[in-house]
Amino acid sequence: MEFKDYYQTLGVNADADGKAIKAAYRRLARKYHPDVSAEENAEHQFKEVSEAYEVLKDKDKRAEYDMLRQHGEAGSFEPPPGWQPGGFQSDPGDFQGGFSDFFEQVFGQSGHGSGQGYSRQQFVHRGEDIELSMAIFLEDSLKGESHTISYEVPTFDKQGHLVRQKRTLKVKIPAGVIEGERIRLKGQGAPGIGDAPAGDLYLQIKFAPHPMFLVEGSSLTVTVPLAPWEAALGCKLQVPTLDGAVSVTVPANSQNGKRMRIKGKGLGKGDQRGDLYLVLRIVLPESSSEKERTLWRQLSEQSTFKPREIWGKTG
Amino acid sequence: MSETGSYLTLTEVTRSVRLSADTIVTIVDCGIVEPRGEQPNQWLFEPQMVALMQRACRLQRDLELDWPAVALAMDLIEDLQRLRNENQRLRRQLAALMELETGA
Repeated sequence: MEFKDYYQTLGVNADADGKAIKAAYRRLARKYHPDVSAEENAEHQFKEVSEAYEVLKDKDKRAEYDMLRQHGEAGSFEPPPGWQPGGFQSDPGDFQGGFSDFFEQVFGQSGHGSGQGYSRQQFVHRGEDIELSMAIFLEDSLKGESHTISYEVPTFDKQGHLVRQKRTLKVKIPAGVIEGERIRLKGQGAPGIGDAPAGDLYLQIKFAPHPMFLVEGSSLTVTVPLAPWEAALGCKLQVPTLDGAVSVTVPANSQNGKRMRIKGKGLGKGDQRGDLYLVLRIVLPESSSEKERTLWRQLSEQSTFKPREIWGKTG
Repeated sequence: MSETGSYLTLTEVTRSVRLSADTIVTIVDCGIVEPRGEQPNQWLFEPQMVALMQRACRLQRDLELDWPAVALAMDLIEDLQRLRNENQRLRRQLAALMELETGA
C-alpha cells in the first residue's frame, strides 16, 4: 500500500497550524470540487484533498497520523505490527468510492465502506436512489415511446454482503421530453432494509447526436445548403423536419447565414413545442464546366454589384 | 410499466436526500429551488430539484459555505453551464456555416 502524505496533498508544512490547514483545504476544495471545477480529474483530486483534510483537521487523527508518518515516508506502507485501526467515525461525503485503502487501514472502515458509497451501518432504512442517464433519439422524444432499460441494483444478501442485482424495466418516456430532463420512477431504486421503502430511480434524458439537427432546449437548427443562384433568385424547397419534409420558400436575394423559422417543428409537446430554425448556407460546386464558367463570366460583366463598396476606394 | 413524471413531497425529499426538513426549508427560503405550493406540507418538488438540492448540500458541506453563498454559487454554476452550452452550440453552428480555412 502506498503511504499518503496528507501534508503534501494540501501543500502545507508538517508544522502547519489548524488555520493554515483549513485555508489550504478551502482553496483546493474550491479548485477541485466536482460541482464547480472544470479541471481534469477533479473528482479524484477532490477526494484526495478531502481525505487529507478529514485527517489533518482533527487533533487526534492528526497525532495518530504524524506518528505513522515517521515510519512511513514515501513508497510502500505497512502499518506497524499490532496497529489497531482507530475506529473513528468519518463521513467521506457522497462521492462514489469513499476514502482510500490507506485511510481505511489507518483509521478503520468508515460508514461508507465498499461498493459505491452504499452504506452498511449509517442509514439502515430507505433504499438508495439510483441515477441513470439515458440516451434517446430526437425522433423518439416526440412520440412517448417505451424503452427497456437494464441496470444494477445494490442490495444486501442474507449475510449482509453487498451484491449487485440486475434489473430490467420497461419505461414509457413521456412525449415531448427535452435534454437534461429527469424522470422519476418511484420505488425502482435500491430496496429498503427491513420493511423500509425502496429508493427511486432517476433517468436523466440525453439526446443521441443527430446528423442533421442541432438541439438547444426545445429548438432545433438545420443548415440548408443553397446554390448561389438559388439564393439570388429565391426558390422553393423541401426541408426535412422530425415530422417529415415540409415545403419552404426561400426569398430572392437571401444572404448567407440567414435564419428562417418554421413554427412548431422543434421538440416538446403541444403548445410547448419549440421551433425549427433553418440557417442558409451558400455553397459553390467543387469544380465547374467551361459552359458554367462562361455563364459566370457573363454575369460578372453584366452585374453592377459592388461587394466591397464598404471599403471605399480600395475596393 | 412504471409510473413516470411524479412530483415529490417534502417528506419524500427528506428521505431521498437525507436532509432534515429544516434544512430543506432553508434551501427553499434561499430560492435555490422553488417547489409548487404555499406551505411546506403542500410543497411539491420536481425530480430535477432533488439533484439541485443534493448539489447545494455538497457545496455547503465541502466548501464550508453558508446558505446564501451556496445560493450564489448555484446561480453562477447555472449561468456558467448555460454559457458553456451556448458556446458549444454556437461553435458547432459556426463550423456548419463556414469551413474555416487558414492562409490566404
